[in-house]
Formats: sequence, structure tokens, C-alpha cells
Amino acid sequence: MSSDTLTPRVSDDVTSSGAARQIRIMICDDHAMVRGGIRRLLQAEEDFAVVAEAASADTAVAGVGESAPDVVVMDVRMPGASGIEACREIRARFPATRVLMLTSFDDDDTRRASIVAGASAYILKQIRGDGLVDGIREVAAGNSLFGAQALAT
Amino acid sequence: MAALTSDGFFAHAAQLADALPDGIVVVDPDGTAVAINSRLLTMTGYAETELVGSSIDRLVPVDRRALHAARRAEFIAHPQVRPMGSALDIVCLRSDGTLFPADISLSPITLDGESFVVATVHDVTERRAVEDARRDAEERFRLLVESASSLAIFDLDPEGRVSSWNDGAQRLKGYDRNEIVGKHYSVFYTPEDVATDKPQRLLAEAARRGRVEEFGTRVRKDGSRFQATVSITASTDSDGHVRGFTKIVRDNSAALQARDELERLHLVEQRVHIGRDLHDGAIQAMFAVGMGLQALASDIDDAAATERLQQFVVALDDTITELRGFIIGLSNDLTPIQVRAEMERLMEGLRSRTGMRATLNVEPTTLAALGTNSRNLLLVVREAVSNVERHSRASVCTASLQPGTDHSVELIVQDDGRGFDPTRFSAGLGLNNARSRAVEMGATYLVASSPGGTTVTLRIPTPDRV
Repeated sequence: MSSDTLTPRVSDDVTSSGAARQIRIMICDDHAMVRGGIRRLLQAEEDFAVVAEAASADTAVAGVGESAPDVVVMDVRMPGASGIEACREIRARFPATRVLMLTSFDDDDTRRASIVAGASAYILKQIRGDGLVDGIREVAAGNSLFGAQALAT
Repeated sequence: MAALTSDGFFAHAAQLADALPDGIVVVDPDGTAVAINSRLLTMTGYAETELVGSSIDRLVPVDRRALHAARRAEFIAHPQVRPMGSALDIVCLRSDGTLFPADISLSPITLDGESFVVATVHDVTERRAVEDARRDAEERFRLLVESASSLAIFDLDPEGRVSSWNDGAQRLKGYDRNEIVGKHYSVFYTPEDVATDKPQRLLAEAARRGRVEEFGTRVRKDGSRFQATVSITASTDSDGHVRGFTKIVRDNSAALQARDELERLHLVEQRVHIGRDLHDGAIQAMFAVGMGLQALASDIDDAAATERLQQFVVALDDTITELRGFIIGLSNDLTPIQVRAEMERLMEGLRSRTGMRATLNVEPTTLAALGTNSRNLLLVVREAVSNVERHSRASVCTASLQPGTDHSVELIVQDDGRGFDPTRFSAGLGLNNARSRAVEMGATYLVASSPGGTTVTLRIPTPDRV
């Protein structure tokens, strides 16, 4: 994938927004079009600020260090290191940053792996609907979308 | 010795009742126990005060109480002496929560103008255990006989000609005793083996070492081949001269079939994995295009064009959902238990992603009645649940499967959401896909939606009465 080496990019237009505290978001997905689409979707929300993007797990970890997002929207499957690995790394090094996994399939193994890696949510890829937007707000508020039952295991 | 009249005898009803080996409980039409004997107390572990005056439900497992009440009403309407639920496996609940199997007979009686039911409870735990043990023994014996009769056992003379022949040999190789005795045993080998003189070599080795074993291909009378485990044992006289050979041949085809079955399962598993990888790419791409279209739609000022773009996005979303469902479709051989587990997983996903109260009311036995259609049913449920998640904004969702009348079962997926306009989604693949599944099953498919919620009803005919 040609965009694989994309370096984290810190947007300058939103970092110093004055009003109410915005939720700082980083998007990590190997597809540029997905990142663009998600960015457009999230920018429509006033309380959201997309502060960085990454096209691979490695650049995501580095990017979190630079832009200190509140929430990372992380694709599960990417070439190279997976989103799960990136999530584990981010949670270990930057505990204040929460990770929301974005996935194509609702399968038990990935769900479990995401929980173990410290993700706060696991959301199915779906173009329309409020799942992602609502999910980000929940996660930023410190809630987990896995439910008490999932966390207990 | 004082003569005891029948009337006098029954005047001691209480003593008599307590002397009986069975538990007895007298129940009034409301289901309240009015009298019990001591045997019933030892059987159930209750004290008399706990049962007398209480509902008979105390002795009925919780999940059967509703049914029990219905049957009781039925009995009171049409009282007659009969065994209770002769077709059912009756179990009684003890005070400590454990269950025991029982035979129960019911007799209506009238005392002082009031109707009661006398239930005689016979604990059949022991009888069941004996029956189970007998069934196990029978099964073991059957397996033994079957495995023995699948062995071909026959003798050869020192030159290798067949000299005796058993039923197993006839079954395995296809030759009658008359036609094979006297023939050289090389007819059982493939031409390739005969060309390399294998039959004679095996005999020579058996003669030298006493016994040889081999795994190889053998030929039946009709020319078909099978995989066999063969042992040849030489019998010798007191001088050490070979008097003949005994050959035991086992057809390993069954074992091989089991191995093939295992390989097939592995293949299915692999197929699912490969499918998942492939579809992941496709879903990624569609998700990306969809996101792009969505962004484009918000840039365009033309309302009609925006509407069209949104329709494309909906269609893409539905296709993504369908691809997800297709992964399940890849494994054709789901058992009712697996289908139910998959449905439970769908509901769990709904619960954990939306916080919706999602319940599943599906028994594997009901699913089993559907045969191969249970997979189609799963796909319909998957789609319905996915629609509930995406469109309904409901707080409660129930999926239940109930036996219906006239050899059918009825699936109902219900939510209390905002409903939707079915025509708005006609362009999407989802509902049409469910419809085509319904047609495939010969089922009727009905969607009723209003702002108070949506109900999807699927009525599926079951195959012939089992």
C-alpha cells in the first residue's frame, strides 16, 4: 500500500480552539479514502477535533506521542503490525489515550483480543449510522462499550 | 385372629397411606396440596408443614409450572384415571433443588361433594439407571458384533489356495464360499501387486517369521478396491513344516471415511478463514468508497444528486452487511446447537454495541425441525438483527422461534424502535435478500413497521412430520 509510510500529521487549525474542550481524535487506517471519510464524518461534530492521522500501526504509536489524542479510531486489520498490537502499545505507553477499534467482522477472537489489548470499544464498519460518533463520545467520557459482562471475563 | 373387613381396613387409611412404597399427594382443584403421605416427604425432603396447604408447584420444576397448571385444568375438566403425561419425562423437584424422575398416576376422587385429584408418585431413578446401563451394554455388544462381522477370516493351504471362508470374508470380498474355496488367494490383490509377486512374498515371509502384517489395497470380486489391514499367521506342525495360513483382513474404509470427514471439516474451517480474509479486503474497499461518497454528498448543493448518493451509500452498507453474513454461509454444516450459538452471539453483539435489551428465545429442538433450513433462518435473523441495530434506535429486541400450527415454525423478530418506511429501503439488498431466503425456504415473510416498532414474521413450513 503506497500510503503505508504516511507520517502522522498534526492539524494546526483545531489545536488551539478556544471554546468548550473538544475531543481530540486520531484516525488510523491504511486506506486513505477511509481516513478521509471518517475525518469528514467526525469534523461535522462540533465537539470533535481530528488532530492526527496515521496509515500504519507504527506511525500511529509515534503519532499518539506527538499529538496526545483523547481517542484513537483504530482499524483492526492493517498491513504490517495489526491495530490490536498498536492498541496494546498505545495503552501501555500513553494510558490517557483511549482506543476504539474499527472492524470489518464481529468475531469473538478479535473482540477478546481487543479487550485484552486495552481497547475501550469495538465498532463494526458501517458507513451510515451514529455508531462511530456516539462510540467516540462514550469512550472519551471514560466508558467502555464492551459491557460489564465482557470486561469481567 | 380378628377378622378385618375391607371397610375396617380402609378405616386405617392414614396408616395404609404411610405404608405404601409410593408417595401420595391429594390436590384440590386450585392446585393446593391438602394431604400427603410420609413416603412423599422422604422422597422430596420437605416437611409436612411445607407442603400441606401450599401449591403443588413446589414439586414442579420452575420451567414446567405453566404447562403443569394447564394440564391440571385439563384434568379437572375431564377427570379420569390415567398416568400423568405418559409421553413426557416427568421430573419432580426436591426441597434442595435437585430433581428426580418419576412416574405419576392421577385419580379423581370426590369427598364430601368436593373434587380432588390423588397423585401417586413413584420414584423411577433406579429403574432409569438400570435402563440406561442396559442400553449401554446393548450398544457395546452391537458394536462388538459389527466390528467382528466386518473382519474377513479365512484359511489358506501351504500353496496359498483358500481352504476356509467366513461370512465376514464373503461380505468384505464379495465371493461365495463355493466359488472361492480352492482358488489361489492372489485374486484378492491388484494386478500391480500380482506382477511383483507380492502374494507369494507375503506367504514366504509369514512362513519364515510366523506372522506378517500389512496395510494395502485389495480388490473385491466386482473389481472395486478397498484399503485393508491384513495379517497372515502361519500354522506349523510339530516338525516346523507350514500346514497353512490364517488370514484376517479388516476393511479400513470406515476409518478412512472418518479421516476424510475430518479433513473436510478442516477444509470448511480454512474456507471460512480464507473467506474472511478476502471479504475483509472487499469490505475495506466498500467502506472506503462509501465514506468517499458520503463526503461527496455533503459537498454537493444539488438535493436530488445528494439523495441519489445517499441511496448508493445505503446500498453499500447493505452489501457490507450481506458480505459479513456470507462468511457464516460459507460453512454449510451448522448443527442446530451451532446455529443457536451463532444467534446468541448476534444478540450479544447487539447488547454490547447498543445497550439494547436483546433476548433470544430459540430452542435447538425447534431448529432441528427445520433441517437444512436452519441455516437460512440464521441468515434472516442476522439481517433482521442488523437492521434493528442500524435503523431502529430500539431499547428492546426479541427474536423467538416457536412451533406453529400445521407443520410450521414461526420466527418473530420484534423491536420497540422508531420503525421505518419499508419502501425507503427497497433499494437496499438487505430486505430483498431476506425475502429471497424466505422464498428458498417456501416461507412467508412479513414486515410490519410503525413508529412504535417493527415486527418481522417468518413462517417456515417444516419438512414432513418426524
